Amino acid sequence: MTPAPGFSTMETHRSASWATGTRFPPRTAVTLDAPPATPPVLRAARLAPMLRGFFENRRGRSLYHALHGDRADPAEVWIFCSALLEEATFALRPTVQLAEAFARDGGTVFRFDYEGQGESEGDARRLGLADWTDDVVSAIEWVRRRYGSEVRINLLAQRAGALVAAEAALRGPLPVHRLLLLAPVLDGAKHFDECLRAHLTTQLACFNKVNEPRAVLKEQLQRGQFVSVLGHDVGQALASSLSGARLRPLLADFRGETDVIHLARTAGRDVSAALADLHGLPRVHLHAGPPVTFWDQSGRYWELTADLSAQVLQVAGRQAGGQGEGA
Amino acid sequence: MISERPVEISGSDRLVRRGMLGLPAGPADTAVLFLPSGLKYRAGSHRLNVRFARRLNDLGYATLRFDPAGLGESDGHLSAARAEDIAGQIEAGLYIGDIRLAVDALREQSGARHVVVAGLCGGAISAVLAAGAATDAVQGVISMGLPVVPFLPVESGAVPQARVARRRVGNYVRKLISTEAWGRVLRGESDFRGIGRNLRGAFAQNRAVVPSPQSFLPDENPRFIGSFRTLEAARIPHLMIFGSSDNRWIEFESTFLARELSGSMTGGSYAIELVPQGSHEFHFESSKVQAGELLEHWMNTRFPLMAPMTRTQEASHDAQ
Repeated sequence: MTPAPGFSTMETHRSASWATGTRFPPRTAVTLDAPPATPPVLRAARLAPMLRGFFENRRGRSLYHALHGDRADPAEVWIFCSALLEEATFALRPTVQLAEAFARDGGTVFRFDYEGQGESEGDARRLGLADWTDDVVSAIEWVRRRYGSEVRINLLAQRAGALVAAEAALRGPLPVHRLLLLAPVLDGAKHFDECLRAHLTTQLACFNKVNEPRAVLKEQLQRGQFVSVLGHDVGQALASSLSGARLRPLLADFRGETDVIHLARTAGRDVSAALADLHGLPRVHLHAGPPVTFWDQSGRYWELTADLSAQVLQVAGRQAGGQGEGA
Repeated sequence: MISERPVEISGSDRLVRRGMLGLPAGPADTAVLFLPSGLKYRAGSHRLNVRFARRLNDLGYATLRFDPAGLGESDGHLSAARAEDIAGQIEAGLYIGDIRLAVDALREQSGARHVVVAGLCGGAISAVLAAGAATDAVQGVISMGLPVVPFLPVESGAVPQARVARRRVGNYVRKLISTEAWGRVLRGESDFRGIGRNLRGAFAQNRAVVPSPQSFLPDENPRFIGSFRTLEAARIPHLMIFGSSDNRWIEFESTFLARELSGSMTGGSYAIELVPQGSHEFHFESSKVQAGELLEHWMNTRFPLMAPMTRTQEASHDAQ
């Protein structure tokens, strides 16, 4: 057999006594010459230039940011408030593509990482929703310094980032014109309970049993210890602030318009039931989105889908021309 | 304050790859390139790359966290697909060219003489493959949670190695308490064919198979084996870190370690380290600390920091 280019032909001693299951008859053996089993999935697509860097929040920490859009004096800027913890990691790519779709449509988007998240400075263990709400205010200040205080500020938030954005819109010192919430967390207590469930799953993977049930984890938090949520250590500041947060009262008091897009796991689910907690609120508009759960670890890799991109742009009041995946 | 700055790296395809360059206070003799874990982005799972990179910057190493094309903030488009299909392509070397681009850019921008490529899971296999294809440019490899058993194509009819399959079946049993898992079953989102394959593998009878050094079995990634041999032949240091509770470790131990390395945890240039009860991504703080200490110790041993005087002397020597 001729080895494929770039691969060594050096032979390494291999024991002749190793055993496998019954699974692999010799005729199924493959060689270095075997082509990849699946067709290529990567293709060329260019993103528009983005301005990346760091800015200081009001506590003096450096936060990572990326600015999409090339308008010198936009009338409005969308600030993206990301999901929290590992959901933000999974959601990063579709979020970048959504910002790209806005920019291609003539919009301006400012993305940033909260303190202790993503590539920002800091340690999330002692931070809670109030700190990250304050980071949204810092982001608004950055945008106003760049474009002037007349620029209209809209917040687009995902998952638990909706609780942060709504709090900033309602109680922050700077005006927020409107909110667009993507698959928002309605009840912070339920969401934090799911976070603790993730801890139990990790315990099972590591120890084959649950050594510390949820009640014990909650006690640890109250004693000032930290708990891992999919690798992110969190403390009581986040536990208590998230557990006490609900979206409905925040939206009820917010004076601007709010659009909520519900993303179900399965097509055809009733948006009305899923968002029942938000029924009856003035200035809150509910929309059913496609079945795209890009913030969790499913069996798929999520790039921003054209239908979701088009819907978000439409709801945002922009033309639905961008497809979110570049030219 | 952060001593990092965003960088852009363009290839001959004119696509821009984006990354974050971290430089130490003084000149760096060695730089470490951090790759995304699988399909996440350059910050790594739960910011693991950020944590390791900033610690290395503090010690005196340069770093680059890097998004290959189609991931994170880089140009390129990965079709929405089953994650395992994309993972299969990564295991076949999808990102070798991108990593070479990043290695060259990191060397140029940091001024380092040595470049080490590091990654977890998909980033680990990409690091090994890229280093094996560029032994002239890469001086070290750190692979964490390295997947050596490729995703088995359903069409092959093959089932996983018995010990691996039994572990996976154990995971299914534990997931019986998960409402999320039951939800996936009821929605038809579970990988039923994969479950069936693991069940068959778990109860398969073992029998000896005579290996051939030039042909490979469906549970072996020939590209990985070729690259590993190349790294050994070129005497390129390679640190492998696994969590002992990681399925990737079970697979590695049952297949490659047993067959290729005769169970030896150290070899000519490679070293294998275990984080006791560590998960695939080192979720718990104690695991992160241990993995970080192993990484740091290996860097100190294999790529020791040069004292300022020594560095000056060497620069002077080089100039002569």
